Amino acid sequence: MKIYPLLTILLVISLFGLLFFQLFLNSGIEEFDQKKLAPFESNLLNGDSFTSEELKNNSLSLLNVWATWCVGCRLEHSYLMELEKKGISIIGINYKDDKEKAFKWLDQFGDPYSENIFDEKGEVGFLLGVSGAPETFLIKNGDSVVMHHMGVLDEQVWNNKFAPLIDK
Amino acid sequence: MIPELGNFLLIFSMINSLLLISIALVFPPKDKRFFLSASLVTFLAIFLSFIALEISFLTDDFSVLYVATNSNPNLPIYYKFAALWGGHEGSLLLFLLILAGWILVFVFFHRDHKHSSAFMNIVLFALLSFTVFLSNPFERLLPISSISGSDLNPLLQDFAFTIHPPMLYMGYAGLVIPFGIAMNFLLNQEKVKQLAPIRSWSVVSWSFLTLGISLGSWWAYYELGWGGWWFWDPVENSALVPWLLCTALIHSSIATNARQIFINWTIALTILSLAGSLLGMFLVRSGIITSVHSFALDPDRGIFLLLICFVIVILGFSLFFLKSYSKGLKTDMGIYSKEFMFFINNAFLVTLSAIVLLGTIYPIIYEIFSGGDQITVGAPYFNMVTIPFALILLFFQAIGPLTKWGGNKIDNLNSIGMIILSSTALSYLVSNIFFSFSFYEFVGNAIVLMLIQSLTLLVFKSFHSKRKINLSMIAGHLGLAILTFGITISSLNSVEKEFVLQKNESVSVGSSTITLENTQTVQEDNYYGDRVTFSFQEEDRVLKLYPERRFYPASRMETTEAGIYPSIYKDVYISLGQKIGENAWAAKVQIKPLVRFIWLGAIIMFLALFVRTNIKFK
Amino acid sequence: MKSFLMILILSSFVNGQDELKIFSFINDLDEKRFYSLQKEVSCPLCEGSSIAGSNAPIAFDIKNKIYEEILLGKSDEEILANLRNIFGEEVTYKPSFENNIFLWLLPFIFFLLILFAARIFLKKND
Repeated sequence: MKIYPLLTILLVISLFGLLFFQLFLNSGIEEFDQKKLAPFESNLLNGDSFTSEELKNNSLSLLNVWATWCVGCRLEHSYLMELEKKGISIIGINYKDDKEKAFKWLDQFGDPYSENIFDEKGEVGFLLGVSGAPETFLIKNGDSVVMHHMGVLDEQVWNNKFAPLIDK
Repeated sequence: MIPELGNFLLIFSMINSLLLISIALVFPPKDKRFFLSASLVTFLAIFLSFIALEISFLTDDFSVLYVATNSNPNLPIYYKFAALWGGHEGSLLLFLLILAGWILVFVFFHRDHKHSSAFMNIVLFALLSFTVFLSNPFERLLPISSISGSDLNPLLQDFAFTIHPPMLYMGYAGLVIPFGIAMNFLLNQEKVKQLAPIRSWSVVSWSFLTLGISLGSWWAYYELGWGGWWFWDPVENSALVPWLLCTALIHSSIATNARQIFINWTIALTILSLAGSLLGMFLVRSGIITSVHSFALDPDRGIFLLLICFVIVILGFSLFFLKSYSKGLKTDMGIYSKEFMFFINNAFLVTLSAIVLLGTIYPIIYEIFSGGDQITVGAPYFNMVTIPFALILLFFQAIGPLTKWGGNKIDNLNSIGMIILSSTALSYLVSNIFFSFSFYEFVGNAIVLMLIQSLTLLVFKSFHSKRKINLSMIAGHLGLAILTFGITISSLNSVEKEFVLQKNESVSVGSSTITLENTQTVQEDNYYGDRVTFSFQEEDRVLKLYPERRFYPASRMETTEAGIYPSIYKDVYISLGQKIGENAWAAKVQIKPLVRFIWLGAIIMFLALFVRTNIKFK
Repeated sequence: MKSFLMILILSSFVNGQDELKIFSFINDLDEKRFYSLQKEVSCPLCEGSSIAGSNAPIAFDIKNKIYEEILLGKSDEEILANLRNIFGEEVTYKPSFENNIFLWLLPFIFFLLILFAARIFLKKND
């Protein structure tokens, strides 16, 4: 029966080929799945109102999710200050936090944010697909999410994930 | 010094294994005792190497990198011992030890096999080389930086979890033996009788795989804290696939021994089962699929492990197709014959393994072909797809033992008919009277009833006719019936409720009431946390449950310890959620009827190993 | 089917975090849906757990969302699709049929193969 050997070879090669290929892929950089930004409204830390429409004013906006209870946010803070010095405007999303504590924090450590959305209940975060802090998003034309990094933002992450998109 | 000695012994055993292979294939020795002595030497070398690593663990020798990353001076002695197989390199060493041990046992009992041990040693040698060169547990950490060592993951500091890998490895490694036997047969084409040991060895592997898998499930149930006992997690599936194939192998080899049929299929199955084990080990370690379990290797090591698996599969199938056996018998195989029952058994089991395997690697396929999109295949898919096949298979399991070899009419028509009808009717009645009708409950219970009746009938028949009875088979099938019953009832009749309670507040669940009595802080050597006392009031009694939330500073992990009130009839299961303020908690209660039957069934299946296959009533 | 009312909704604030409430349902069926839907959604933060088996705050948020949408009368499919939109395809455990026809049809194909093989098997030996 010639068909069985052929069929077996085919199956074995496909299965192992797949797994080998995936192993090689894993060492490469993943492409990010763009998605639409869900429109939202909120208030800023200073009390003013804010809607996602305002993001349409810029071709690219950087959103950074942070909180005073978040240890990683302390770690990434100095890098955010560096970015701000380079002229990059960052919109903060103060996530599930206490206003008083947030103000104290920004006073104490510095404020890299052009504005700060006060997302007390995490409703804005939820719409973005946030699971915790810190997280950083790059929004294009105010309506699509072109990058979403979960975890601390440092130079390496910036160069790998964000810089290529910004330079384009 | 000792780690270097351990390393040397490992290298020595690797060379010894290679020698056995070369001599067997190139200069087959006249004196068959050669294989016994060579296997003994290999085993002893690996055993002493294992001891060397254990000494490093028990003496807190943190100059050894592997010990430093998997142990901690504060661990109790038993957990230091078990920590050896808590990580990738050490667990490989344990696997090698077990494999070498099985090979030794095989050679001891089967001196007349020419090349079986050589083929088994090919697998051993490949994994030994991988360990020595790419995953060496004896690597030194210089300079010694961390005196305190890191910690064993708190989830793993648990008795059931420490014996779960060794039991699984006994099963996985055991599948190398049938492979060797089958390859030897293909090479030498001697009597079919040489394939006979495959049956006993596959039962041995199967029993240990059953025990290993059920220990994992049992551990997940009480340790992970959420009441689940099977998640169709990729690593669980990696153990399930070899188990299913091994079950098929048992039955196929029985048919081969009894009637000299399915010979080529049995041989092919040994290759598939071994491939399943090796692939399973690869999937767990390579990080190719994210899971709670994975050891997370770097891709280079993953590549080599996959390569080993690939080469062994190619070797096996090449030999198979080049030299397949053509002198098998053709016997009467009507639709009412035992032969056909065994065919159905194998067809369904292999199908189930293929489905589980496919579901597990599907996310990889999807990611590659969609250009990077991720997808998750979980319980809803697997449950939907495997349950129908499993139910049909179990139905045949009830009828199968009542058929005869070569039977071409329904010999037991009356008994089989009665069993099917009575089970269906009884299950239908019970489902409608006691519970709200659920299709799967009806079918599940009907099939369990059929299984029980069929087994009872078998026992009675051999008792009456004084013929031999396969008690091992009865135990194995009975265990599966009990397990199925446990799964059916607990999955379809569980009650769950999430709630928030202050101190001394209550909430009702069905006809029972839960009250939050008290919160205390707890502190032990390596953790601290909160312990909450709940009382669960049923009609006639009050039960107490003590769920906890713990924090382990060394590894900075938080765990949920469920409060469980166990009984054979049902488990009451409380898991803590968030703490609110000082004295209130969000929590979840589950009442799971007959869930313990699942592990009871599994234990009975394991015990089938120790019972004889031919007992005669006098 | 009996319907029953649970305990009152309880609100409290913890460290300025969100309200925690009991999920109360009028309808038995809705309650069952709530718990079974949880098992179909994976917790985005934890590898390998569903939101039913996770204490992460995001898991709680998603449970809340499911609860709200059940009360709003959305169907299971709508709720899951919405979550997929927000968190990505990989957040649900059941792959959609349209995009994964191969995966869903394969079991049927296997079944047909078994029937086919059985026929060959039985024919061979008449």
